[in-house]
Amino acid sequence: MLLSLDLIEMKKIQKHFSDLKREPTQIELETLAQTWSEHCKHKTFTAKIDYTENGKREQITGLFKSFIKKVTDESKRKWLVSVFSDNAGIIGFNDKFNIAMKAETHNHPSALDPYGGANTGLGGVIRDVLGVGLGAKPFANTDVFCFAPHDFDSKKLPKGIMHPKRIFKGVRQGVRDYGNRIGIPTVNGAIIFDERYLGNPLVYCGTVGLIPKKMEHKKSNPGDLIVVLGGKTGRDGIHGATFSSIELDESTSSSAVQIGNPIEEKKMLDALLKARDLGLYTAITDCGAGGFSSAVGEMAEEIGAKVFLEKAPLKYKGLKPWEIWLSEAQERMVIAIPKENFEKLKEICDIEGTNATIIGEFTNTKKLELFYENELVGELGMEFLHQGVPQKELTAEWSREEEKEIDFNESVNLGKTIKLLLGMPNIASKETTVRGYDQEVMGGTVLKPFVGKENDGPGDAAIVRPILEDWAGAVISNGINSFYSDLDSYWMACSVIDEAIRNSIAVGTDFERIAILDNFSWGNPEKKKVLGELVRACKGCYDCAKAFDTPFISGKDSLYNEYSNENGTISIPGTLLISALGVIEDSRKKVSMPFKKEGNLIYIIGETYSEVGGSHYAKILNSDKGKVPKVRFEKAKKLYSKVSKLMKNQKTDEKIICACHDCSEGGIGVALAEMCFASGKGAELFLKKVPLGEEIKRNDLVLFSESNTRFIVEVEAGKKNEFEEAMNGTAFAEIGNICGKSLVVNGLDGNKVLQEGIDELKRAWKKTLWW
Amino acid sequence: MHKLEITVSNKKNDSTGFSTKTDIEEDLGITGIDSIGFAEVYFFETTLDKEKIKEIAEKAFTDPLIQKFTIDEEVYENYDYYVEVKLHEDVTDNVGLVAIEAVEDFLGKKIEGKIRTAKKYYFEGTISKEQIEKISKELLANEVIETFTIGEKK
Repeated sequence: MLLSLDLIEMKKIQKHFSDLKREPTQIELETLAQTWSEHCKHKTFTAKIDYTENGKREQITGLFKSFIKKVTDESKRKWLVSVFSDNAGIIGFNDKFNIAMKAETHNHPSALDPYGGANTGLGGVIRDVLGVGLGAKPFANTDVFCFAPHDFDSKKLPKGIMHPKRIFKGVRQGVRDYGNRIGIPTVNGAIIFDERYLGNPLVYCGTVGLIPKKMEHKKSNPGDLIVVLGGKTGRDGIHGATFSSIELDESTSSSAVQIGNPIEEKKMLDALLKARDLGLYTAITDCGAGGFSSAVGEMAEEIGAKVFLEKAPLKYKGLKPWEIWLSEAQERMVIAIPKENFEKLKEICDIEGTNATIIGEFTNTKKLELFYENELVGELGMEFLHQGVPQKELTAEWSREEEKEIDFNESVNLGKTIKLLLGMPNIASKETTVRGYDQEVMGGTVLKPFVGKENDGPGDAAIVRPILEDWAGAVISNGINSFYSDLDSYWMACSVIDEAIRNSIAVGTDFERIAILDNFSWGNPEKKKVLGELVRACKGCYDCAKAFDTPFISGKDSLYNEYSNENGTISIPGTLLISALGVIEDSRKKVSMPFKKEGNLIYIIGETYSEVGGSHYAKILNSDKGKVPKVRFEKAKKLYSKVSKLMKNQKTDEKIICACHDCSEGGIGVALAEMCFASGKGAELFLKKVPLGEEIKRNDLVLFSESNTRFIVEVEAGKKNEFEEAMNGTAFAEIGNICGKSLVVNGLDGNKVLQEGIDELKRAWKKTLWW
Repeated sequence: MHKLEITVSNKKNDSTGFSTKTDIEEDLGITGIDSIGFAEVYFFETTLDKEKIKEIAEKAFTDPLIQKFTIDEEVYENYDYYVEVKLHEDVTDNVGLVAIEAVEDFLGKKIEGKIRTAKKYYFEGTISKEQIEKISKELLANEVIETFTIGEKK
């Protein structure tokens, strides 16, 4: 039996049953282990933490409550509809509809079978959105992956681990086959590489859905039937929830692996949306980790339920009652439906070719009662099941060393350096991966992953119109950068929040209408230092999101991302994915990143600091020194408000800002190069005009520093004054113009320091991952 | 039980075979393969006879313009090795489940038994058995969920 309970939890269970004067049954133990698993109860994020930072001790009661949800609780945003209480977060969209988003990881299954793991990861998050409120219709997917380098030496590969390139290829096929076949466009994503993801690749999947107003609440009532829809139950994925809460090692078994069936899910989705619009059911949730145990357990939390396990439709005979109850077979949803509506539901399901089966009934006993062929096989009080889990007590520690000054000399050949940067896997074109995904299905994608003259420039964010009669668009972007965690996870968290918001604003999103989702992937939180970094990151989340009043609406965590073998333990770098969901009221006002017209002016908005710590420039020089990029909250807030306001107020056919791109990995140099080769136009840049936040005397630092909160924009030559007036009060400067077919950079002393043809730059950017 | 193998009529159009060959050369560094023919395999664990399966294969499982098939014999005659990759019995075989549905739709009635599927790669070229094993383990099959069998031309 694989239970993944700790000693305190086991003792609590022992006491509970000795008070009841009986032994627990296997199904009861399995139900408790699943419900109390890290995966379902987020014990680390609710734990009491004794935290010491630079010798100063403090007590934290719940990271989630104290830092993440607190931002939302204190937020003044009126468009928050349903947050942290359901399968996904919901925000306002237009006068008739809201939009919902959820993003989560599927790391452990993807390590064992990349294709099936990524496949079912996407399937699962689609069901999450389908199960929010009374059901949202999914209309866009996003995927972010973290892998070890694709050219990792296969001779050094530890036993039992797949080569990262094989994982990469499997994952991308898995996402492609699920997303395309179910008919939902995959519009946004990112891929980052680091050797420490070797044993634990990260696979994040996100889905956005559309839900009519007033459908955001659900409530199952005593007397409602418990009905399972969709696929049949088999021995698939048993122990997924408990398994994802432990470390991987060589002996990890295969029982958690499945391959998704998107067509099955599509049929179920169509049936459910029809039933939703007829108001047939009162509550819905997805069968994810923990299967029926988790779905029914959650829906019955306030009331109680009786389940007759033999009624569940099975793939094959011979399943034990606990296996039926815990199975994580894919493509299933559970609904609560009044008895009189079942016939109608059945009719709809027959038309759509999916199953609907009654497996039990909600009661008012406040108990979970499980029967198998008329025998009571399990009986648990709802209160003990849901509230009984003991609060964890953990210790965390973090200490700061002085930030180190850089230890390398200025690169002499900046042309060579910029090509090296463009070719780094994190920056290089991901076109061969992204092209496999359907971005057009459903017909509402306004701004696609690739933009520009030859449709191959890297867009900042995706805009999708879920209602084709309305110009309003949902904007999806992300921020991820685990390299900064090595220096300070606080500034890592601030940087990725800034990046997600920056990407969104760059395409024209209203700064006042952005919500974010957090997804932490971390190592073993029982190790003091690892947890200390997590605490630091959560603090960063609070400070940054609070300063911008950008609330969190949903989130997830995946911990214990460690791999052990005879050579030791590899822990992943602290990784936080921030997914941003924004609204652009008129998607015709979108701004894309390629330059538009020769002779137009190039501006930079935002200040540049000497911040190359954790940067890609430092990486190519093998340096782990330098200052990590910070976020100056007040300045950043003002800057974003101004840029966003200007873009919102400009006319659709006479734009002042014609192109906008965010500066992130690789700094100004890379951003500018991308804008050039996406458009097929060259540019001339004067480094001495770049506004600096502190004194910098080196060209390389100005060009490749990764300071946050900066945009490069193209301004219509005739609208120079309007632009400057609108930006008044923030740091900005005209730094060059669009001309020729090369990127030309004039250094701080006025001499030409870089001249590269744009085709040459594009080639360097494309060749690395061209397979 | 009967075994249905389906492949493309013209090997030049075998995109799966072609990309598998590229992956082997680029990712595993193994050269010497002349061609790979890819076949879908269906194991009919049903009471249907060979004639009926032939009819089902012709009318429901293949496109006669671009595909060909054999029942209970190998779809390629010329090969040096083949690798057949099949899901473990306890892993849900979605393609197999849909295949049974297709058969039932075609016949207009429910049938007893099940269909399991496999992927089969026919290799031609100068390669060793050790190399074929490496290719099977490191590229074609994931032993956590799949088993593979290697066949040699007699």
